Amino acid sequence: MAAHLSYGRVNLNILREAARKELREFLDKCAGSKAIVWDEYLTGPFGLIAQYSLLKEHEVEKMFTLKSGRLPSADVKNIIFFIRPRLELMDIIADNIFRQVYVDKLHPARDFHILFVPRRSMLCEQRLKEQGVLGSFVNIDEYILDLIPFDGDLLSMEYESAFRECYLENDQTSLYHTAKGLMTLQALYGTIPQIFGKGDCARHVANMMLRMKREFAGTQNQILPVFDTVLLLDRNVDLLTPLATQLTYEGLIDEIYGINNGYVKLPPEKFAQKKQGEGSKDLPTEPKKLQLNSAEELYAEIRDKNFNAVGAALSKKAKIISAAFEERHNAKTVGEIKQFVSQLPHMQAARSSLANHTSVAELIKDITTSEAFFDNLTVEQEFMTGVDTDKVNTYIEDCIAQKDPLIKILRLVSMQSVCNNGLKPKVLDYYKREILQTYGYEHILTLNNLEKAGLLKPQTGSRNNYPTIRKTLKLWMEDANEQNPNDISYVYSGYAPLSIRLTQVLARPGWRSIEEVLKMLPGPHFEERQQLPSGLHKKRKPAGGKPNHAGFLPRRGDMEDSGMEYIIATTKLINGTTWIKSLMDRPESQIP
Amino acid sequence: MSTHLHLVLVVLHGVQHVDQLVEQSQNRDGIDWTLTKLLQVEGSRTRGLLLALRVQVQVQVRGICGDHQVLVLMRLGGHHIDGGTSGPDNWTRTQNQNRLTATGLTSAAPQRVKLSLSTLSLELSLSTTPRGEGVVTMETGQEREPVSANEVIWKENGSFPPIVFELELQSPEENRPARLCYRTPASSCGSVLVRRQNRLLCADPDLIILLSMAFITANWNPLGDAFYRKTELYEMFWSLRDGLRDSLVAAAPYGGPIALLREPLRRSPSTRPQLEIYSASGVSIASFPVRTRVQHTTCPRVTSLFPSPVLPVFQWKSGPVVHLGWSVNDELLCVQEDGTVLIYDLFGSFKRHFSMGQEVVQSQVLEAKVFHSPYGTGVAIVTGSSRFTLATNIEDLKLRRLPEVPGLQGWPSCWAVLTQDRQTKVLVSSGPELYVLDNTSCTAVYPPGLSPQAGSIVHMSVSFSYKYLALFTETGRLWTGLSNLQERLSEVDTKQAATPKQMVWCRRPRSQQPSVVLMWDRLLLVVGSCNDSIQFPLEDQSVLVGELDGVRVIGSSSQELLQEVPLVCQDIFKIASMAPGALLLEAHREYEKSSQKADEYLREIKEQNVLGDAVRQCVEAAAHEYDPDTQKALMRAASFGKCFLTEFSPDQFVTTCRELRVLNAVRESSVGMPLTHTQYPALMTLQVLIDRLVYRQFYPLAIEVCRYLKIPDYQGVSRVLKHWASCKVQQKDLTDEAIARAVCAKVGDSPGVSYSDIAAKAYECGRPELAIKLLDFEARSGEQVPLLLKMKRSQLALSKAVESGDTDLVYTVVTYLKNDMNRGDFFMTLRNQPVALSLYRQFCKLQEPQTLKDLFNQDDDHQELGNFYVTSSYRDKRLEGRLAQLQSAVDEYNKAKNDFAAKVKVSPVHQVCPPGVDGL
Repeated sequence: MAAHLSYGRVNLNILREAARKELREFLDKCAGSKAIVWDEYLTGPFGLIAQYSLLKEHEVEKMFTLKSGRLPSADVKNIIFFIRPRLELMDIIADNIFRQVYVDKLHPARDFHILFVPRRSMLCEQRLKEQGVLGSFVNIDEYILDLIPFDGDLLSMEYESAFRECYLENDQTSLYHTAKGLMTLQALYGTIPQIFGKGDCARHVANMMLRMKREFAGTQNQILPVFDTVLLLDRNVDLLTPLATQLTYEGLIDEIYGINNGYVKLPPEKFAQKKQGEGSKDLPTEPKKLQLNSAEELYAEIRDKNFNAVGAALSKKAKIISAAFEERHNAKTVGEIKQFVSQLPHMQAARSSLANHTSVAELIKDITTSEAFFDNLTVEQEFMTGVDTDKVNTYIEDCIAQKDPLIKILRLVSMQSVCNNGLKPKVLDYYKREILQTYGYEHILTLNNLEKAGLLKPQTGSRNNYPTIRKTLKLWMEDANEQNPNDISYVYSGYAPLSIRLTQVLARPGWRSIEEVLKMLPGPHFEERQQLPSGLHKKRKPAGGKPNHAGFLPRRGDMEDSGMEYIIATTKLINGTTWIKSLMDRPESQIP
Repeated sequence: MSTHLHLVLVVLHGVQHVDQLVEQSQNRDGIDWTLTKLLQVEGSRTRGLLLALRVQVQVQVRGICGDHQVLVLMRLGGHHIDGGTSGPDNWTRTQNQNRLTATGLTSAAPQRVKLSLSTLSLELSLSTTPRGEGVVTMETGQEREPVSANEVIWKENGSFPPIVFELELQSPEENRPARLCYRTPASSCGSVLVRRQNRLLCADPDLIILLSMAFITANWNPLGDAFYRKTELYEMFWSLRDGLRDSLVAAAPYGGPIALLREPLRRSPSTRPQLEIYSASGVSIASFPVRTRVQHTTCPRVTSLFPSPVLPVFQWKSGPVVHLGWSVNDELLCVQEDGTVLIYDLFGSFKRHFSMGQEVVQSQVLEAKVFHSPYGTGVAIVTGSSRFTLATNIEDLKLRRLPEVPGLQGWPSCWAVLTQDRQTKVLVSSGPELYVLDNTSCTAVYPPGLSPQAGSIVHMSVSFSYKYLALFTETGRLWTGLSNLQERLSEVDTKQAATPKQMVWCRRPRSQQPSVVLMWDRLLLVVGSCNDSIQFPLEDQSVLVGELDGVRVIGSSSQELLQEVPLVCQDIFKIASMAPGALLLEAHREYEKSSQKADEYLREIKEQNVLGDAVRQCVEAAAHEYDPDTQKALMRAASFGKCFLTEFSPDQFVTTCRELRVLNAVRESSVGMPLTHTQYPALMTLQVLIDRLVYRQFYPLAIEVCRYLKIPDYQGVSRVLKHWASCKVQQKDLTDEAIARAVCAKVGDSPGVSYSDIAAKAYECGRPELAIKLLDFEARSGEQVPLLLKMKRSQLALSKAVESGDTDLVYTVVTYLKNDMNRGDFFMTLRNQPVALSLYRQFCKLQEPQTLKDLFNQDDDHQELGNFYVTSSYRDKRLEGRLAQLQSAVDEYNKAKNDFAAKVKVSPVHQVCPPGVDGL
């Protein structure tokens, strides 16, 4: 069922299997029937590792979501908490347990267990101890789930607050986890001999990796390295890319509906089952949930196409499928019919997949053809090409005046600031005032955060270096071919993501050729080599980009021309919206 | 040209005094030599015929060059030899190696040897190439019939392998002399050894040689359809003045250490009994007088490691030691008369003590037993009031007082501890009755099939696995059966009236003929269930130690292993055996002699299609043999046979080679762990073996074993190094600097060695400075933190925690500091660690907003203070409060020179009425 993970040259299923094995081992440690209490945030990532069926095999009978108050009643021997190491969650657990113990007074012998994901924390245990419940736990364990395989070439830690913690709060927990995750990866796929990186956080992660390597020396197993390079990139090296609106099929689904842990929820109207004779009487009210990964043949084909090319691809596919169905008329002999029948399930699956994606494409098309979308895109492209980035933009002004969603405004303003290497104080203050006056003074905190993160900044004495970077790295391609792309710039219909360009340059001809530009980008760039265990010096596979805080970049196909294959690992899959959201402060909602 | 040579002469004559070694110059073949120095003389007298003497001398030799083989002739002056005549000229010719290889003289006359034994074997060895052609013949005395196949012809300059004659005398009556003669041509030189049961009884007076490969079946004794053999494991290193007489002796199974307590019952305070601990080969490990504070005296190795040992403060109370025993972890348990059990480690350091109950202090311990069960090591005692008390696991002490035995007064005649059905029971014989005591009841039992006239039971023994039981009655009958008393195996009349001193089961896994070994003062009797028995005379006081696959017999001068010969060894070595392995071994022997017979033997094996079996048999037999040369011969034969097989997995061969090499290394008498191949995998995993080596501080050997067996570093070498280092830091006579350097040099950055563990050990020993030095080598910063906190180096701990990048660890230290320091110092400490500070801010933001404000205040961070006030203003439900907070924010923004934030004009609606405020 996880076949999509093993398509690539690097079989990420190994990682998944390792994670599953560990989960099974933990479950078997608690003998007897079990109920799991979930930290709600974890259910998504866990769904990528193990289905309910696996849990069921190990006697998991009930599952609840963690909330304070009494636990729902369940006649089980063990209650297991799957939890992130957060102090506030500890208090909820303590509350749960107190009430449960009170209820259980009559029939005791219920065991409590706690499983910290991704790491156990002394601080949390301390808190449990203070609350007086630490002793109630039979097992306190950690489930190391750093890099979760999302797709054949994509790993994510789903650490939602990583960027915020690193840049706003100076909390490097996520970096520690990143380093640990990369160590796990190396334990399974062999030591990665070369490490490249750009940015302060990348430097820090590399340092930790090298140190952990020393610490774990000797325990490493002798595996022929699958990866030969790891590239660590800070998100703040490339602030622009996630701000821009993605224009691939998958990108647009994400921009518009949001992809969460490989699933997207879509408005149900278009997916009504049109059964014969019934028409569309009863429209489903539940949102349609669709799993999106490369296991689906059609999706694998179109996910990374520019949306403008998706229509053609879909219609081609439709023709192929209907031609395949037509074949039945040509099938004369019993043998031919049998062959046709044997292909039926596959064809039907293909047909329903086609129907789904056609519906999705229609939904998206409605939006992309709207004027608002077009205007927005025009402004974005103006910024990226460096047109009038130093003045107050009238479109943004209009949007504020119409009180468009704040995130959209922040995205645009940030983009203008990034493309202009900071805004003139006057312009910046103008935008800020406009925003505060329209949306409320409380947003001063959010603006503050954006400034801290470098998304908004006043232009200081230095020259605007964005045009230099753009030209050297060819960030803007005038003639992006959307139908048959020959360059990565097609994904944004002209803009080539900076981080991808850095990766490409690293592969050929190497970073030495762009020293100047690298100096303009924040943070140090570096190169490290790791000693391989003796006897494993054979050169294997070039691979492995690792944007530290990656936007969900369309990345396949186009990159394979250079003979490299990339696996992307990230702390969190983001788009501009979710990213800006994570940086916002809403004082009234922060009740401790 | 002159050179110094070290010679080792192994002399097996009855040389009485070493000073009889005559110093003499001799000029022969142009070589001059002078005895310059007598280096070392070691010898031991075994009661009987021979004195084994090892003389090491240094001689100066003149007149040789190159690597010409030097043969030096030495004369051993007029000494007396039992059982033979000695000529005036006794020459021993030696080579310049540690082995005496050749002897020789001119005597051409047939030598006569008087013998009074039933089974004999003779070995004739000619080690120098005889000149000319000749014949060796041998005759048995009375029949005057040449033994077949004993005629050996050699050609000029041909090599001459040892010739072995095996004789079975027709009328093996004791004390009847038989005579053996051999004849060699005048020009040859040779030697003859007469052996019985692997004991050299008599040697040709002029010619002495030690053949490394003993005649294998010579020490086999038939018992029913099986054979028993007694192999010498060690000549004991110890020299005990009074042998093992009047001593309490405890020897641990699996080749464990031996503890010896002389005259345990002597109460005079002037001469305190001495407790000594030896390795299985008799190397002294520790020795100290009991009843005072424990001191290390003898072993230099130990003293160098523990120059001033930690003296146990425990005062030895009155009451001598009743029993000694070893726990599974190689700890020595001394059970005192008053019921106190003292626990010492292998090196005699006192570890702890416990008591077997208060009532014992009054009634005194009569007898005690230390036993091993699945739960660990247990102790059982019987008190003066004839009550039994048990502790099944000394690690988790729970005393159990067993019910009273009806009618038992004073000493029970004999008793034993049984483990059955996960329960520990005591079997006790009181007068004619036999009882089983368990937790709650005392049940009378009757061994099935025990003859009514057998009388009461005076001795009993339980097998190593607790499965079998042997009972010895006062009329000398031996009953054997299952220990649950459900079934009888046999009942044998031993015809011995006296109660044996010791009685031990002797079996092995898949035993054909299990037996019981009984020991009296002068006799060792092996009784099988087939009514057959073997008698061995005992020369001195001995102790029997039951093992998984045999019995060790520890005497004052030597130690032997008595065991049933494994079936596979029987197959191969039994006389006239036609087993595939035997044929293969023969084939290989012929092959080495370049004889075509090798092919004939091989053909025979191949025709039966059993070559694979033959190889397997040889490999398996090699594993069971104790003598390395026999092992080698068998392995070579196996390897030879393997050449003719195409699809044969080499695993067994390779594994056995490896295991044997390791076993031979630990059997080495300096190490002294006589493990058999059966014991090694059965209960001793490799891990345990290495642990034991480490525990005995054989670090280099342990490391070699790990390397040789390619154990992953972190399980093997690193672990050994860690133990070594932990031991090293306890050396008081070295400076911190020196130790740190030594540890670093050896351990380096070996993977998996935790410097923090070593440092923790150093700290425990009261050397904090050393601990800190060692911590510096620790690569894992995280590991350093807990110890640093323990050592109150909190600043250092904080910076190490930050260095590790593990934020949870930083939090831990921060929480610790917060509770440990006053607020001002705490904040100051944090200021120096920005990472820690920001983490703490995070924590405060969620948990303690007021502290957060204080932190900002302290740092004069007005911008953040402004933000803080804005945030809190939005949480304030009251309008006035909110306005006040915002005013503070404005002040702070002003201080931060953030004009924009302070002065931005926001429309009144938004200023006062953000969403979610009640009442507005």
